Amino acid sequence: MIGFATIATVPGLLIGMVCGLIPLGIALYYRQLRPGLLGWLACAFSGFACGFLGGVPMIVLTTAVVISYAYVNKQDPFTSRAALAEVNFEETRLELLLRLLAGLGNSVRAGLVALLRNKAGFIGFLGVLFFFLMSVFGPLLIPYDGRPHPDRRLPESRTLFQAPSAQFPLGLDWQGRDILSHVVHGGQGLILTAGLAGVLTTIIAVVLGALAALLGGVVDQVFSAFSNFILTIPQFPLLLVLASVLTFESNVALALLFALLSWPTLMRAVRAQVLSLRERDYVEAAIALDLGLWHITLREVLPNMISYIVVNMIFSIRVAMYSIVGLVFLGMVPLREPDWGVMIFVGRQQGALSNSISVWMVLAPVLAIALFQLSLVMFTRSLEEVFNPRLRSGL
Amino acid sequence: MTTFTFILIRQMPGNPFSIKVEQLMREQNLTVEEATNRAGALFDFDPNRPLLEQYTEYMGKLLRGDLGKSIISSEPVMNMLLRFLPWTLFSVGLGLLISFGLGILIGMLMAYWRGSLFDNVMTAFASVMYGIPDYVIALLLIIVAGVQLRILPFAQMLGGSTPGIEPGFRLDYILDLLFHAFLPVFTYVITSLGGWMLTMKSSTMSTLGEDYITVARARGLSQRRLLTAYIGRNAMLPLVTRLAISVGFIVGGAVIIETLYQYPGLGRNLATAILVRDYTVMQGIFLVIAISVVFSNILADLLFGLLDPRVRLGKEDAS
Amino acid sequence: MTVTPAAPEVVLSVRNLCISYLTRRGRLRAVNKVSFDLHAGETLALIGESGCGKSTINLGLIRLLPPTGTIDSGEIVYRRRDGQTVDVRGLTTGQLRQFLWRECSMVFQGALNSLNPVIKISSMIYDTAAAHGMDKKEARDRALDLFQKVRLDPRRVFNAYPHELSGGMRQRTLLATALLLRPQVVLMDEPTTAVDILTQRSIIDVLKRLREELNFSVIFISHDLAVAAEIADTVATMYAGEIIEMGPVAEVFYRPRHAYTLGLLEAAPRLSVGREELHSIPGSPPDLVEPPPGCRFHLRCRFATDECRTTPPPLTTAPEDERHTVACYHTATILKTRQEELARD
Repeated sequence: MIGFATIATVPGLLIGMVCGLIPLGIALYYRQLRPGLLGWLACAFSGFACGFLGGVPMIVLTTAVVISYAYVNKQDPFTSRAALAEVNFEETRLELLLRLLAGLGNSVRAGLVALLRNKAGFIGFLGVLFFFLMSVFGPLLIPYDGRPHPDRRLPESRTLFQAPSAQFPLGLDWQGRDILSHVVHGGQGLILTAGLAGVLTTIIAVVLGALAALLGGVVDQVFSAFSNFILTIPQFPLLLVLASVLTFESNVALALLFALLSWPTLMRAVRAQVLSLRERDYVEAAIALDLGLWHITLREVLPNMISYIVVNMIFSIRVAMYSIVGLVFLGMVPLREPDWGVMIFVGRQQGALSNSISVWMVLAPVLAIALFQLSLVMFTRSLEEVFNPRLRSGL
Repeated sequence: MTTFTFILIRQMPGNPFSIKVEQLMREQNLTVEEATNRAGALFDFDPNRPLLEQYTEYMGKLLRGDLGKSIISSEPVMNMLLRFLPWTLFSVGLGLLISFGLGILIGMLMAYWRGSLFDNVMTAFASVMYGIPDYVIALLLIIVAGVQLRILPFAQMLGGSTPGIEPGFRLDYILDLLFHAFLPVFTYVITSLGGWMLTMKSSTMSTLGEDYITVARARGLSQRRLLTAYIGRNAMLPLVTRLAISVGFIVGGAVIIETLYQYPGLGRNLATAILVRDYTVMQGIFLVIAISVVFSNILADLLFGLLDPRVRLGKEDAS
Repeated sequence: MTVTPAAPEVVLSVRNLCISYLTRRGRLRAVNKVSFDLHAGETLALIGESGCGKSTINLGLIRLLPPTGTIDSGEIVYRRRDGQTVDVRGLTTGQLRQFLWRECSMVFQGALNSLNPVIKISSMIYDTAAAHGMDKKEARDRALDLFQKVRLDPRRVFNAYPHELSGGMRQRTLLATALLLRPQVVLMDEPTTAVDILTQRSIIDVLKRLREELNFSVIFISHDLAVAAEIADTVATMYAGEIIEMGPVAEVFYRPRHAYTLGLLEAAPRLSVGREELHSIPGSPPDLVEPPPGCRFHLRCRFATDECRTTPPPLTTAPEDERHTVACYHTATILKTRQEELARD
């Protein structure tokens, strides 16, 4: 289908289980059995879902969590039993690594707690998780039904459309194919493309916005003028025209095009935020200490904006999904099955909207899109808390 | 903006002009030069002249209101635009007006009765509506109300007006127009209402905390006066600035909504023009969209100035 | 101007007023069993640290507490000019709306935010007049007259938007607006805090003159002792939601009997005596969700004894002046300390 699609595989499961041995081993060394086992499960699961892509990053996260349970900072006068004079403030590479990992692990744990606390956000998270599981593990259970089935025509019917039944829970489409299988298989490409588009938008916006605000002067003026220019053109029609003129074959290119058209809003927000953060005391202090541009951006400015950026990224993902489905829906990009947008487009062309038996071909993907978008909206509430240290501490 | 479309059509790789040239060469066995000239006649410009000259000529024509002719139907683009524009202006304008008005009213009441059942129901409603794309709402409306429940005479409501009814300033024609505009307008209202409500609620909440509201209460003002001139007017200010942005958004969404409802406005015709590669019409519609966005920006600024004296008088004595 | 004890017509009587806020940690008793009488023409100054409940009393008196605040118990009785008494707590919303501003108006702290930025001063005046059935022409004449009295250019201010006025002008506009309907009582919440010292001076002068001319009573909230001393007839010191000492201004300032009042006086800078260092009161106000047992001030008090730590001191009357009441066990020691200090100066 597309290059970066992932489907659960058995080798992936093996990779995950092997990866999981690392946090498990470290946990056994620290005598922390429970986090170790959980870490192993998490690694196995994410390896199962995404192979190396899922397993390897999960090693780092789970190991960090395991270490955060066991780690005691020897330099910290509050936790160290050693007298102040005996504390060795020089730390070895290993100790530095341990300290950083423990910090990461603590953040992950705090984030998980925050995730559970906001009810609406947690429901949203479950929704997003559901769609993720559906497109990754669904194909294992429900094989893709791609070929027409003229033999499935009911005796009294003139079309191959069928209303939901016990055998086909969401009915059959115009070629007599199982709609459920199309829903299960048709989301992944869309979600991944929209996700990529959102991430690219965010990267462009954050980099340009931060540069404009921190460098100022001509750079700022050029970027701002350019973003103003793009903002005057309504994005969606422009995307339509460009997508139809340029005719894309790859979803990556489509995601990139979307990102190139939609960065200005977030970029201006980032620029404004950085400018206002710059005024705050602690950043001014950092500037006065001459800590360097990148240090200031990475250590002082970014952590304060991360929640804002993540929320905006989710927003971009939503708009990207909206736009991509819209493009498909209007028939502006090459159609590739299985895809939710294509289902709506073809369904409309084949007259699925004319009666209540055939309507399922359109209703199913429409509901899927609506639920996914809704889950994302609700999920952002939790994300705000997860990434905002002030909200997280509950003050 | 015009410069941008100009360049888009003439100079981009795979631009329509060179595609047409290639097509003519392939289909009618013409030489490059012949094909170029023929295509130039079609696109209404002389490709052999320098780009700058073409550009000035294009801009000159544009200023005189000449947007060229449709590649497909040879109808002047200006005429087509004048035919499409009223439909979109009417439906989008009406939708925006209703959703803005309703959103302000409901949002204010939500803040006023915060924590009440009304507030909770409306907040849930707004968050759901805010999260669902407009065409999804439109499709659900068709599917649920039109196909499953058969509440709406959906098939008759498509299009801009019922064929056969004589246009004119008569009641039956106006009612017919409203009948057909119902679906798009309702969709615009439903999709943008949630955003207005939530913004108005939070804006009203912060206004309610202002000292001048407490003072106004202490002066014994009537509830109505308090809600309009004191709370409403101040809480509305941030929403007005968002008005212009949302015009662009709704016009963008109109492409799909109008296609779905077969509503004969700019959006559906933009979609058609793109599908049949009618570049002059595309260019024209694009221009109108861009102008409408700029225009709504100006309108929003004017409205803001009307509501907030601090902006009206400039900044010379603001403290 | 001091009130002659012979004509103590009480316009506002407050008995055992308790106000609390609902917070995340529980009920916060912001005002605890406060009682006082306000006489016609009298100015009562409430002084104390920020957060001691001064502003809450003010908002409670006109029932404009934020939604989290409630009046738990107590009486607020107001006496109209015609002699009828009004129980403020028993008023319906409509009656309250009529009562406010006509009988009791308010000047809030922070003149900047007390005026609606999007309407003209004239609209504000007309709104107020309309709410109380005063006709437009009368309101206009009255407002122009009052603007003149508070030394503003009447016509210019009347037709101006708030942002066109300076801070001092806005404060005086608010003062004039407060007097529009000839109220008997004006509540003033730190009316001179947000303005510079010269503006403060002129506002106080204006206020004094207006009071003589129009004869209204004032509850004046301030943390600035100098201002309070200048304008007040009676002073009440508040600590942690309670009035701990109250009496005629000269009595309280020259013969304080509560350790907290003494502390406040020691902490105030005095221009007349340039030399000494300023004293501060150690510690910070107590947690009002779980107030300390005994005297609420005992944790910060240098005179505190075991008695103070267990039993709250009752309100007693000073032997020299029956209007001077105080809630402290060590009145004699404190009085002596103050008099020694004054003698040293």
